[in-house]
Amino acid sequence: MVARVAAVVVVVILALGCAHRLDRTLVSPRDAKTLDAKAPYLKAHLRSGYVYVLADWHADSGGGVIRGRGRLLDANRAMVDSGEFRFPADSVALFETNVVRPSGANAAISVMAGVTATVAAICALSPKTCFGSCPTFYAPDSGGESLQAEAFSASIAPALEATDLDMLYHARPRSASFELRVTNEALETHVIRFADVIAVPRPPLAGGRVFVTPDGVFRPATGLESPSRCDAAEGDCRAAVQGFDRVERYSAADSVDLAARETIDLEFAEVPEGQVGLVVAARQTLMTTYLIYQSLAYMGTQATTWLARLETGGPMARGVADELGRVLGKIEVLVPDSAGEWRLAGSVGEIGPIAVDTKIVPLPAASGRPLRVRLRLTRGLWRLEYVALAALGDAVQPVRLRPEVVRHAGRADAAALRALRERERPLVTLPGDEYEIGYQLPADYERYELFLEARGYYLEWLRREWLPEENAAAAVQLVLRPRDALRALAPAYKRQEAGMEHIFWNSRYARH
Amino acid sequence: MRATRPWAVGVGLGLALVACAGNTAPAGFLVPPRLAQTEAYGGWVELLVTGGARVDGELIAVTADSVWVLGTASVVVPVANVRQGKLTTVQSEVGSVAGATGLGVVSTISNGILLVFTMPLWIIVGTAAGSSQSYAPERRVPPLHWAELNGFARFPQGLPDGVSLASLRAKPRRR
Repeated sequence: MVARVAAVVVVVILALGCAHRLDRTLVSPRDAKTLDAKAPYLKAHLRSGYVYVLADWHADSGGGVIRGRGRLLDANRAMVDSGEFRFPADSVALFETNVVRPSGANAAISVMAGVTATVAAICALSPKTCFGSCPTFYAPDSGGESLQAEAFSASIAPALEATDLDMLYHARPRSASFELRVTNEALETHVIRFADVIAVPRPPLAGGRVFVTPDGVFRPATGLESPSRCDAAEGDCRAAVQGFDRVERYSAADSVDLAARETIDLEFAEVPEGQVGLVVAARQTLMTTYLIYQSLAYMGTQATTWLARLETGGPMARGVADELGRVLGKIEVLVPDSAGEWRLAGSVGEIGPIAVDTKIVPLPAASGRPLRVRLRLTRGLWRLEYVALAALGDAVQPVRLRPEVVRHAGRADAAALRALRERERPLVTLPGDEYEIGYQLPADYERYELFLEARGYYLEWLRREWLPEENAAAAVQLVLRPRDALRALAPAYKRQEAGMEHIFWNSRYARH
Repeated sequence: MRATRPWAVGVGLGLALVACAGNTAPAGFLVPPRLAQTEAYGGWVELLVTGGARVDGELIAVTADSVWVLGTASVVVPVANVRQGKLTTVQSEVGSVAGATGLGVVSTISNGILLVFTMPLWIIVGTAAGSSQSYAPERRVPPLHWAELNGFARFPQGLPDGVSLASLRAKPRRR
């Protein structure tokens, strides 16, 4: 429907956008044979000041005689005569022709209409490409402000409400008054129970940071080392993972099975003394977004019934719903044991394609140099931003900071503040909503690492474009037999994979 | 759906307003290019004369040394006394570009979340196109020479013998 309306609008744009330019040419009578025969009108200016304005005109082969139908106007442009005229060219002082052409502005408008129509067509063919996100949090950084966290991305129903802890890696508070901006940038309803800032004192050593482990323990980290080797299927991947520089390592999904795994082998020549941990910063590609939307499309008009079963079906229903995520898996961190067999040290990875999630996985005591680490992950599912080895300190206690002020549309919003502080009722946001949440940091705020802990869920708005894909059998397969479903969906996803990524990440929406 | 920031819209509209060409022609004097093909009047000329006086009106004729203007007063101005001149040949049709841009902005609703990309692009491109279009009918001296304006004079051949400026009637207003 939207696409059809857009098509009509584009046609109207092209019609309305008919701005023109006028190319006027003057020709002396002796050159009458060079008159532009394509000009629809000819003006013949006489020495007396009179002028013929002719349509259906032509000059004879030698240009000596002009014929045409039109009007003869006097010097004040009052009509003197009208009808068919025939006169010698040499009785004319000057000929004038005009050609109206589309203006340059027209070309620009046409190009834009084409861009809009193309994007609309892509969105109509693949709505999953164009819509989606979850509560997105922006924080001040060294350059201004950037997107630093997306909250509870996997919580697509009340039954899946979850608490999410995200490191604000790039946050740079400019004073003890720290502000986050939370936005709803998708066709979704966001339900936010709370959004607290967690401040953790950094280790005093230069370059020291604090990271959180997958089980929520804050560990100071020093002596961060980039890998001396990074071997992936495509070859050396060190350049992509050695800095938190928005250069990411990613791969294409398997064309037969979306759950197919790959490995990345890392080596660290320099290994700090004591316990070490592996910092992994990553976000997802659009595969999960695609799969969530495909699930909702398969559920179609029965989506609300399916989601209601999550509420009434208890832990078993929620366990079934989580199965797809389990099959896709996280980024597993493995280290060799004394026999050289790879053993799982931990796994990291948060659902969501927008913000990079940064965690640290403590590793067992290193047995040799260089230290070898293997990452095992689903092909085409992860964008790996940064990997580093660090010396780990003992767990540190965080300071929880609740919002002090909430602003909406430039004004203090007491109800929203109450919702986020007292947690009796959640803060509910709709597409386009934007709130600024203020926190009071400790006076020595520069010494603190900042994290965001948010809890809630969100509800996708079902799109009319999805309904034609309603398919109960496929929905059942995705929920109950996700391994089979990931194989069945592989060809369809592969057809869209490159385009989805290109469109999504080349839009400003992808800024982070 | 990202909300378009009010300041961005404001800047866009502000640019659109300040960046467009203007002229002193009475409403209805200038006609669209299609109509100008069949009319036989001159364009609207504005002269800044040495000493700061301004003269404007229909361009009746122009030669390398004089400009004939039919306005509230009918005057022949020696070009030596003119510091700069601006001729507006036809209606710019900038309203069409603005209308198309407005519809274009609305049409980005079909682009889903990608409207955060296409909507600002429409505003930027539409504003630039509108501004450019508003200047399209202008001819300025300098850099042009006076004689180059004659194509858009009522008498491109020069003021005819036997025709005096005082005898000419102003172009009737279009309704």
